[in-house]
Amino acid sequence: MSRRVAFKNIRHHLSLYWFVLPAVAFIGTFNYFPVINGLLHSFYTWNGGDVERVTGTQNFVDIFAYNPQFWKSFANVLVLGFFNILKMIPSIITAVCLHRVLSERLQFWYRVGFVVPMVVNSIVVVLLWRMFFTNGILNSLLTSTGGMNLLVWFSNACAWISSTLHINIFFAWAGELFKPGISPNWLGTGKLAWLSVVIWGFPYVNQFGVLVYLAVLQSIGKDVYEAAEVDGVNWFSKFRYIELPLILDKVRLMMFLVLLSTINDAGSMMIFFGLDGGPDGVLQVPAVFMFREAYLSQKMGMACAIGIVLVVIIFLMNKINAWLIQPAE
Amino acid sequence: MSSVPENASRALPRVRSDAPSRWQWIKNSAATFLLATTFFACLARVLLREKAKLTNDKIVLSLAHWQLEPGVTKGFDEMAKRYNEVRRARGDAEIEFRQMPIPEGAYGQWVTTQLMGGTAPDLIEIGFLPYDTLLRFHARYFTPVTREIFKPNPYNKGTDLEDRPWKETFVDGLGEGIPALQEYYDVGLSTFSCRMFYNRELLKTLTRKLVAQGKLDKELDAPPDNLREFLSLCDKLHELTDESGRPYLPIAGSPDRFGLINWLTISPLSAPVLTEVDDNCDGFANDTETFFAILRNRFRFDDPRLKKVMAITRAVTMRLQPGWNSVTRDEAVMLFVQQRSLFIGAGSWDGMTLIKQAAEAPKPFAVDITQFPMVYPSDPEWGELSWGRPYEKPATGFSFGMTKMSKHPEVVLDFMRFLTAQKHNQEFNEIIGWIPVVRGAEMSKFLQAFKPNLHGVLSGYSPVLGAHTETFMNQTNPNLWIGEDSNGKAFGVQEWCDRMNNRWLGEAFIDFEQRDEAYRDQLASKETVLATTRAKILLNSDPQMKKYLQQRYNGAFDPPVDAIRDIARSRQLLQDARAEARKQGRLK
Repeated sequence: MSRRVAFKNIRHHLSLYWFVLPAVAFIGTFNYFPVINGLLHSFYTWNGGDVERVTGTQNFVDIFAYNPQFWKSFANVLVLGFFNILKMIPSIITAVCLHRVLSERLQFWYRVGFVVPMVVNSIVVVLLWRMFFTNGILNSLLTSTGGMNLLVWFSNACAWISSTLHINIFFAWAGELFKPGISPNWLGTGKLAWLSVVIWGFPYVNQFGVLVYLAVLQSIGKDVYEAAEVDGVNWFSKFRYIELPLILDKVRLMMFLVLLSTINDAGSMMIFFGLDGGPDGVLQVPAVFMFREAYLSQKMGMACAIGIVLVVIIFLMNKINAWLIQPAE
Repeated sequence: MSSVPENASRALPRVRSDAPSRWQWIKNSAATFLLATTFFACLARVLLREKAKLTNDKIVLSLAHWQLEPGVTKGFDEMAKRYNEVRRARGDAEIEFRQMPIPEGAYGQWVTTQLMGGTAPDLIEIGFLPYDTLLRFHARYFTPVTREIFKPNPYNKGTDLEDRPWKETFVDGLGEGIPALQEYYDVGLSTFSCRMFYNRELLKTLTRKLVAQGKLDKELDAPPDNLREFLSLCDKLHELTDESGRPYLPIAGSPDRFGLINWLTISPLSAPVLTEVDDNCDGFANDTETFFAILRNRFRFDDPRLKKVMAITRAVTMRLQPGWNSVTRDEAVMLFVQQRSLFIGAGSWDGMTLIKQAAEAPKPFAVDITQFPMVYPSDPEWGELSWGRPYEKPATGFSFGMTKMSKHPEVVLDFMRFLTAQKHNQEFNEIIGWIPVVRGAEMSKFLQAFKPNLHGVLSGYSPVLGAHTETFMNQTNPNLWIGEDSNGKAFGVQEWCDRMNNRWLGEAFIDFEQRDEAYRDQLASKETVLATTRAKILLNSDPQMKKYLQQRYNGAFDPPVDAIRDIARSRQLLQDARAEARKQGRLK
């Protein structure tokens, strides 16, 4: 239960407050000041330098009313977010597999094996994937393993389904992806660019996610498993009825973090496609859009307004996430 | 009370007693040990460096740049050695020269932190920062050299440049400096140009094969200069396969590399549309003229001449390797070095590196340089577009500014004068393999092919006004290059014209209005700069400097009254034309 402290009593513990002060100053300077400053400047026409003029809500009006690209970028980020959530599945599977390794020492080394790649900067990983896509490594691998023929066959099959059964959702799209004798231009054509941003990062094992799930899984008592085995529960049912319900909270949390990072991610998109959002701008995302307004158009005020809109959206998402988690608690 | 699960310690290795085992102790201490070692190693390094600084009597001259090619670092070291010889002969103390090659990806951030932290080197290569930031940095952290560049360079003694002001010894007279600050800050060391590189031996071998197959009249040791013939040769070369059975990819491309071909082969072909676009008849269609020509419907993107230019663009891009529009310039070089491609566009800045890479390749080969092919007036279809070779404006590059943190600015300035003297600039550029920037300095034999063409034509229109049009063009043009849009539908010249006609004007309007607004915002600061210039003219005792300031005050720099008049006129024009364009349905 919280207890109110009278202001006059504070001086008795002044030394303690002095200890807190540096942390408060740092948080205030680096976390709160930029947000407040951004909020303030979102009502300005500001070039980041000498021109600073109050324009009221004009920046917000411009974003919502006159900028179709902004909404398109949000649609893109939602689709990307959906696929990034799907990409969480391998992390869950990995965590469960690690949890079920019986040898403690072996489990330790597996864990180390999964944690060590965390020191590699994610930007390096994106750069490597960019290289796979662009310098022919992926195409050579596909050609030499027969994977290219499989992709062409898959594309042809989709085209056949689309034309014969008139199912156009997905099949019409996939039917034109791979053509015989033509090396896929992964980042250079609209459709393949979409496919590339979905498939990059294989095998999609997020080390942080694995550690979070593993921490929860390891709190399950041995007796629970023993009881399940006595009841003749198979490996999948153990996962379905024991492990999954326990990690579901963390799955929801990770889902929120994944969506958050997808919305905030400008780095990987800029490495893949630069500031233009890919071929024909198909992969425009809000963070890159904001970056472009700030540094290419020199509209810092507008960029601040976009940033504020993003903050509000993330805040709403946080609320929805909290609402989703609540019933589980 | 919460109970501890039975297998809570499953993840931990088995422990035999309460005391931590040696293994566990190593595990627990490893991170602390690593952190402590790194910290002390860094501390020792910093202390040793500081000590060296304090005890060193030599004048240290430091220089930062982003040129990682070995030739450049070698060139600077060699010139510093020669500079020391000159100083020794004069009886001056020697300098200790330190250069810091920083990768270009991190250059902007590195320069920013060094300048803000007060630890910047004496000379910094200018670039990789937005113009506005550079402007602020110049004003705050760099020393202007305006006064000095109006005096002759003493190292030019005995040459035809002996009495000429330093500024005038450069091929472009150092341009206008930084007009917003009314000062000169940066001094260039080289100038640049682009040409087509090709693998002569491979070309000879493959054309010999084509002759044997009856597809070509004679064996070639250089590509045809005529664009149509060049494209036809590319098609024939593509039909041949290498030892692995893969077809040859005649031109190695990347967006950067194609940009060079576009600049020197394709864009001059749009010169004929100047008749509709170039309002002031100066032979150059700037972005404002382009904007008004399109706004007032004097020129459209489906102009038959422009359509032909776009058809040529497509014809060239079809001859590049698949996926070229998403690869980096180095990846294109790999294709050329692996001898899968025969031709590649390259600049004088990376020419030496390319030649070296070819010489050190698993199958070494010699590289030759030639002009990009051009359309000849005799061409039956494209001839009407050919007004001549492109004009290559000489301009200083590889520019360095002197920072205010420099402890010996007079020595730094003297070193810059040394590097930009006619003789030394030639020597320096010979070593690094670039084009000298000083008048009369000869290029090396290898660079003769890069000699800029000073009599030629420019593009007939400039469709980029600002960020919106730039992004729009960057998103639209690749569709034409690869022949399909983001939905996989065919995207040809007609589709390009339609999209440009439908959407370009709207984007251009946003850019134009933003620029107009920025121009109006600058009026107040312009008035301040003008007042400062007036004061400088009145108080300056140097006649040459006075003359220069007077010229700038009268001519190059619009007085605000003129600017206000221009703005009013352009706004009136804009309003009339906008109303008309809306009426015609060309603008939403």
